Amino acid sequence: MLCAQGLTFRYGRTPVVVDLSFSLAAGEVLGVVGPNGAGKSTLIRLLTRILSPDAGMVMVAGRELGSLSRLELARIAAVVPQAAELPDGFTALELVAMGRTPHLGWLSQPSRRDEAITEEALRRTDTWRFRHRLAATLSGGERQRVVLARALAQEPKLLLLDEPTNHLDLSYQAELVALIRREAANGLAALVVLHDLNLAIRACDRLLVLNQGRLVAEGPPAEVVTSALLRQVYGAAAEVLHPPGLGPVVVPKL
Amino acid sequence: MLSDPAALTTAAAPRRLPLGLPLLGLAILLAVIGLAASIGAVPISLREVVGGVWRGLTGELSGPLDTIIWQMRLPRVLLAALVGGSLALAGVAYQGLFRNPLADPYLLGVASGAGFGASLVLAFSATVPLLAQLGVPLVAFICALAAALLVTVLARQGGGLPLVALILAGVVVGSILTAATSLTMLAAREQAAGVLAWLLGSFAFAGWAKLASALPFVLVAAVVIWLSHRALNLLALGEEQAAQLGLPVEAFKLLLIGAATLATAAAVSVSGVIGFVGLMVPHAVRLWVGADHYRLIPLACLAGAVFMVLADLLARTVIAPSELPVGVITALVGGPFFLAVLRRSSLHRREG
Repeated sequence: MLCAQGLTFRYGRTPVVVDLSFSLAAGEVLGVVGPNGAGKSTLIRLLTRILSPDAGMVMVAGRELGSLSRLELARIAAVVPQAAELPDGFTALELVAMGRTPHLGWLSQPSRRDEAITEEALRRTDTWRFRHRLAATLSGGERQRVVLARALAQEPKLLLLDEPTNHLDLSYQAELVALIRREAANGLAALVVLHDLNLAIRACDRLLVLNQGRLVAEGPPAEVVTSALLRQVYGAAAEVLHPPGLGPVVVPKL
Repeated sequence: MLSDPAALTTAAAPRRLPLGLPLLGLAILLAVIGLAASIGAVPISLREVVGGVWRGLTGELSGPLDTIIWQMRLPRVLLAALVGGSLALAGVAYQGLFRNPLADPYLLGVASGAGFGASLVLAFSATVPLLAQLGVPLVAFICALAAALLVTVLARQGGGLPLVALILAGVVVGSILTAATSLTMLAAREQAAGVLAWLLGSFAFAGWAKLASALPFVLVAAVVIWLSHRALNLLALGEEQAAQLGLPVEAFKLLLIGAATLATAAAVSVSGVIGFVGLMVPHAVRLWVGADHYRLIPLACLAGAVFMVLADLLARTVIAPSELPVGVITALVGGPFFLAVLRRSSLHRREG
C-alpha cells in the first residue's frame, strides 16, 4: 500500500528526514515513534505532499506519489492531523461530510450514497449522537473523533494519523486504538505517529523508531523496544518490563 | 468499506438548501424595494409603484409619477440592492479565504485603488479628455483591479500566496494609493468636495446605465463564488487540511480572490466606497445560519441587498431634502458592530 525508498528532506540545510525506507501493507498498523524533532510529523507531511522530498521515492497504492494529483491522493489517503483545527460555525455532521469532497465533482451535490457513508463514519466513531452540535461546543475528545470520522468518510485505503491520542484521556485513547485496529482488520493500512511508547507497543503491529530523521530500528514492538534502544534514542534510562500476559512495558527509571 | 449503503434509510441528509430561508429573504428584499421606491420627496403609493414598474417594463410610461418611479427611484433602489449584495458576497469570500471574520472586501487595496481612479477623473477630466471619456466608474474599476493585482503580485512567494503577505501588501498598497488620492485632491482643490463625496459613497447619481455596467461583473463573481462553496468550506479548515482533502488550494485562492475583487470593484465603481457592509452582513448571517457556505453565500447576498436598500432609504430621508452619504449611515451602524465583534472574538480567544 505504501512504500518509501531513501526518503530525504532538509529544512534549509538541516536534515529532518534522512534516507528513510519502509513499507506498509494493507491491514497493518505501523507505529512511528521517536523523540521530539525526530521527523515524525515531517514524515506525514511528506507522505501527503504538503512538503516535497529532496530525494527518494514514495509509492502509494502502486503509483508514484509525485504523479498523483491532490484529488487522487485524497481518494486514497486520509490524514488525522495533530491538533486539527475545527472551525466553530460548522456542525459535526457538516465537518464529517467534508470527508466526501474528494469523491464529489466540483459541481455535484452529495448523493444518498455519500450521505450514507457520512452517517456510517459518524456511527463508527460514536459521534452520530452529537452530529448537530457546533464544533465550538465539542470537547477535545469529541473533536478528535470528529476528525477521525471525517478521515473515515474519505473511504481511504491509507490512514495517516499524527499523534491522534494527544490530549485524550485514557478511555478515549483505548477507544481510538480499538477503532484504528478495527479499520485495519477491514483492510485499511494505518500509519500512526505516537508519542506514548506503551500505547504504541499495544496499538501497532510494527514500529519504526526514528531519531534525528534516521531509522534506527524497525520491527514488531516486542523485539524493537529494549532498554538499550531507549538509552540510545531517548538518552533516558528506562527499564523494559515483561509482565506475564502483556507486551513489553516501558518504565522510566527515576 | 460500507457494506450496503442502501440499507441505511435514515440518511444523514447533510446539506440541502432549505428553500424557505432564501425565499423568505427574496420576499423581504422585494418588499423593501417596493417600500423604498414609494418613499421620497413625492410620496407614491405601493400600488402606483407596482403599476409604474409594470408600465416601465412594457414601455408604456405615462405621467410624471411613472417617470419618477422608473427613471429615479427604481434604478437607485436596485443599484443599492446590487451593490449591497455584491459587497456581502465579496465579504463572504474574503472572510472564508482569510479565515477571519473581520476581513472585508476592501482588504486588498480595492477601495483605495478605486478611490484613486475616481479622484483622477474628477480632478483632471477638464485637462485630460481621455479621463472624461472613460468616466468615473470605468477608471475606478480599472484602478481597483490594478491595485488588487499589484497586491497579489507583491504577496506572491515561491509558488504560493501566503495570506499574511496578502494582508500586509494590501495595507501598504492601500496607504500609498490613499496618499496619492489626497495629493490629487490638493492638486485640484475645487474638485476636492466631489472626490470626497464619491469616497463616502452614494447612490444619488444612480441610473439604469450604472446598473447595467456593474451587473455582468457581479453576476460572474456570484456564480464563481457560489460554485466554490465547497472549496470555501474546506479552506475554513486551514490550507493544509484543505489540501489533504484534495483541494487545489492555490488555484482556488486565486479564483476566489479574483471573483471577490471583481464584485467589489464593480460595486465601488458605481457607488463609491461604502464601508462595513461587506464586513458586517456576512458575519451576522453566519452567526444566524452557521458557517456552511452553501447556505451562507445566497443568504448573505440577500441580506446585504436588504441592508443597503434600507441604509440608502435612511440616507435620503433623515435630513430631506438634503442627503447623507450612505457610507456615513453604514459606518455609523457598522463601526459599533465591528467593535462588538472584535471584543467578542478577543474574549473568545482568552477563554479558549
